Amino acid sequence: MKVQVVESVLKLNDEIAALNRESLRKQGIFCLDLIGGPGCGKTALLEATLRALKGKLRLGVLVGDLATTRDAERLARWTDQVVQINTGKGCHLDANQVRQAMARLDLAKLDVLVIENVGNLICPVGFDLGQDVKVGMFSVAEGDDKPAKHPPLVHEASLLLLNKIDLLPYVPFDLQKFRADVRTLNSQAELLEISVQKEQLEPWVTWLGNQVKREVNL
Amino acid sequence: MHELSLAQALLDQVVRHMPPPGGISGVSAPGSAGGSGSRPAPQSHGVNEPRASANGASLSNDQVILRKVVVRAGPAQAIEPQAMQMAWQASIAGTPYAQAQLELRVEPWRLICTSCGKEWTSEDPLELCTCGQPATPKGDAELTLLSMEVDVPGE
Repeated sequence: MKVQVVESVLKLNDEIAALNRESLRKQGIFCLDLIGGPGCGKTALLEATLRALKGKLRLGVLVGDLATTRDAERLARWTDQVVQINTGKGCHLDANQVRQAMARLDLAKLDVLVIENVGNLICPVGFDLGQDVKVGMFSVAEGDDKPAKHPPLVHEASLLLLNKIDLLPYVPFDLQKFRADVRTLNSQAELLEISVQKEQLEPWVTWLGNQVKREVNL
Repeated sequence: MHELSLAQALLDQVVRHMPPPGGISGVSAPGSAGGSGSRPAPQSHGVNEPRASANGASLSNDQVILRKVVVRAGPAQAIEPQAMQMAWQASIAGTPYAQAQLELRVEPWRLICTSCGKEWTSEDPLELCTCGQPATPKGDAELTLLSMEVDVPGE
């Protein structure tokens, strides 16, 4: 006997993600899911962003890691709206984890919610968390082949960040090849080249301001 | 290894769609508010204890056996077929569905040449067209349970 189903395997996750999205939209909060490998600079970017935009844009952060609260402690210097999610052995966040963490935030205090996913270029891509956009983050130190090796992330992201461009003179990295691979895989996504370390964040901050329809200057 | 999350979500979904003994269709448990990380224990449809049918009549203990589940994965779903098979085996071990085979149909990318417009499919989204130009890869990130094959006593 054949039972026809035709239903998303992640139906339950997607239903909770829809609830998350509804809660955030009711509050007028723009939400992004920040996905990148370990060490690409996700937390450093958020630290620098929180520092630069303090008093200009209200950011909250849910930060996912297998273990420790180190990232939340780093971010808590700049906002009290930060929640650490420890996944144990989980390689990605799911919508239910985000929903539980969201309950610990005061959403009325936020313009933007950043979900810093577990450091991983693969596993988080297929899980809807209730975000408005997925942002993929790479760094020069990781090599120029990362977009080509991780098509799903590049294909699904609305914005791609290339961090540590200040290292270009010091490491083998073909910027033209990187750009071409990104363009081929996703001609719609914006690609912003930044350096958190050198505080070259203007394109990112401008993009963030555009998402909340507000002019935000450094 | 997000395949384990996917396999567990798939098993939850399969359990909800299992027909009861006697092949009564359209019976499924309502969805719970648990995410992929909070999976309830699999239900034992027709295996361990009698269940009530939709009209309240008691059903027998005859086993409904799950033979196969068929799943489609879009090319932008970052799934590794071999890891998914392992995760499926790990998820069904010790459950009433331990013999169920997973048929995973991973769709290739659909490529459209940016120069000559030729269309073809490939597992490599960066594959160049025969004219030497790059192509635009098209594909979704969906993971869909298409169907299940079950043996129902009395069918």
